Amino acid sequence: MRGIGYLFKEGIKSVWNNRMMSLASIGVLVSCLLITGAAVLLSMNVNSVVESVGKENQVTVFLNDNVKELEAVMEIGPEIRKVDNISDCVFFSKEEAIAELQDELGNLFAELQGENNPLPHAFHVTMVDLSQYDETVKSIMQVEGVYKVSDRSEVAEKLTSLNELVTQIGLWIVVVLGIISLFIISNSVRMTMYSRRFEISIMKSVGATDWFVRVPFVIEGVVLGVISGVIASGIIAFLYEALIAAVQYIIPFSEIIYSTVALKMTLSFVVLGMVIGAAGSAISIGRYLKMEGGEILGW
Amino acid sequence: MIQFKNVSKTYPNGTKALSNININIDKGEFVFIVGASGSGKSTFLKLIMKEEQPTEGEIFVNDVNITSMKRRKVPYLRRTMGIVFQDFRLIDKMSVFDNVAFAMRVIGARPKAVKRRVLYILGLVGLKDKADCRPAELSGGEQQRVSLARALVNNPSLIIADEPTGNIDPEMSFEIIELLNEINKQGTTIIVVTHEHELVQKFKNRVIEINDGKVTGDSGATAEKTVVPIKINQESLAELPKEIKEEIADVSADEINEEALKAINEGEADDL
Repeated sequence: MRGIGYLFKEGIKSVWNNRMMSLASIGVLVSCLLITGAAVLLSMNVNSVVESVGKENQVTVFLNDNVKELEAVMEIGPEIRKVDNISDCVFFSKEEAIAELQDELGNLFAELQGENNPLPHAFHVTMVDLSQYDETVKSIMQVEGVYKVSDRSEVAEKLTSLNELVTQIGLWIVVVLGIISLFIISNSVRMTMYSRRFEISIMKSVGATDWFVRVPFVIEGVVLGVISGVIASGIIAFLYEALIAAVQYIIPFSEIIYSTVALKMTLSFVVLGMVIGAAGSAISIGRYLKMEGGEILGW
Repeated sequence: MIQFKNVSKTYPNGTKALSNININIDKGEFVFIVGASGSGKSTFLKLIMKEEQPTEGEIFVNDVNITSMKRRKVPYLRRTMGIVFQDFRLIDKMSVFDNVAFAMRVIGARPKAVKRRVLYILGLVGLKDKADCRPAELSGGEQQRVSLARALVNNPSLIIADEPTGNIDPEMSFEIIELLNEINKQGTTIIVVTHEHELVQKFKNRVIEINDGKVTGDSGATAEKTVVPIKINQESLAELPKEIKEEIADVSADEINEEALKAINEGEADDL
């Protein structure tokens, strides 16, 4: 490994010597990493929402249309409470339901008051153990007067499939952007190589091994990758925190706190940047190594 | 040192550069290769450096058949030879010192050895004072001496000069050839390709003439050599501190050369 120090210096020097091209590569790589990171964070957040919804242990039990309020409170309520695995059962009248809807959707439902109210009476039922969800729902359904149990798991299912979609799209984004970055970096290194073809030809004529010709360029690619990784981690941390701060009043949900994933994120960015950088360089060097003397210089 | 046995070279585009060449150059010889441009001289050099592969025949360098040499061993072959180009091929953004040092650094020489050896070689070609200059600040003759210093720095057993005087004025040309003659006296084999017959005639070295890809003349193994007065800058050598002078002839460069030969012969050259 003699001369490794020299090779390192050369690699880093060439990042600076070709700073315009380096800047362009870093720009593209940072963008790619940012989009990748955004996809990952989105997926993580959707995932966490899915989990929290899935864990929601409250279901709404809708009663048949013809059931009156008195009957519901006096007869059906106690029956539901008898079912195993239920910790709480609160009556939720159709007047309350319509009022809640109006709160959310405005006066659209103004004429649905009183006699015209199409909603049934309901109970908000809380379960003790979620793993017995299905049996509990079944038992509630057997209580006379019960029309339907709102199925929270449907929502959870939809969110899960949404999560899968997000993950998959995220994965494709990573792959496509990875290829683009690879291309850009390999082009950048090719530019460096072109601008240094003269040195390469001298290196070969004095007997430098392929390894010695190659290493500075690989180091250049790796340095570009690491710089991009660090910059991208900084930007995404800043953007994410800002976005969460802005959004959390509008959509209340238990978001991922960035500091809990910061280290993983930064490391992944840097490693991903390094790998793309090294691979990008390796791609473009091969061609030059096969050339000899004047060919390298294009004579 | 160098043997061409029935060597022919036809380029993929059909150009017949050399046909059935037989040349024998012994260790320690100083040979001029002359011929018009397009005669096949450059191909001859490229074949020695293994930048090109012969279409037919075999080439031996240092008794090693380089025709069948593996690609990864080629760098080690090249470490046994120093090459001087017509256009100097110096790196403009590097100082004279770094240009010469470059040849050592890229084959993995130790920084300490580089410093000692480069200063010594620059003294040898009389350019120690210009070590910090950029090539552009030097005259053509000086630039060619830098190029020569770079070729010498790894202590090769063979120097190949491709039209070394093509870009410099006649007076300087004479000086360069004298310098090569001087190096030749230390036992280094020298091959100079040129089309300047006048220059060749001033020195009584072996002349091989190549025309249309064939050897059309060979003055044979060196007759008497002109004894040229030593013009190496002894003054600049004298300026060196005593310790360095003592260390100068140390193993630094020989080590590289030996390693290269070992790598070629043993066939287990690792890729460094």
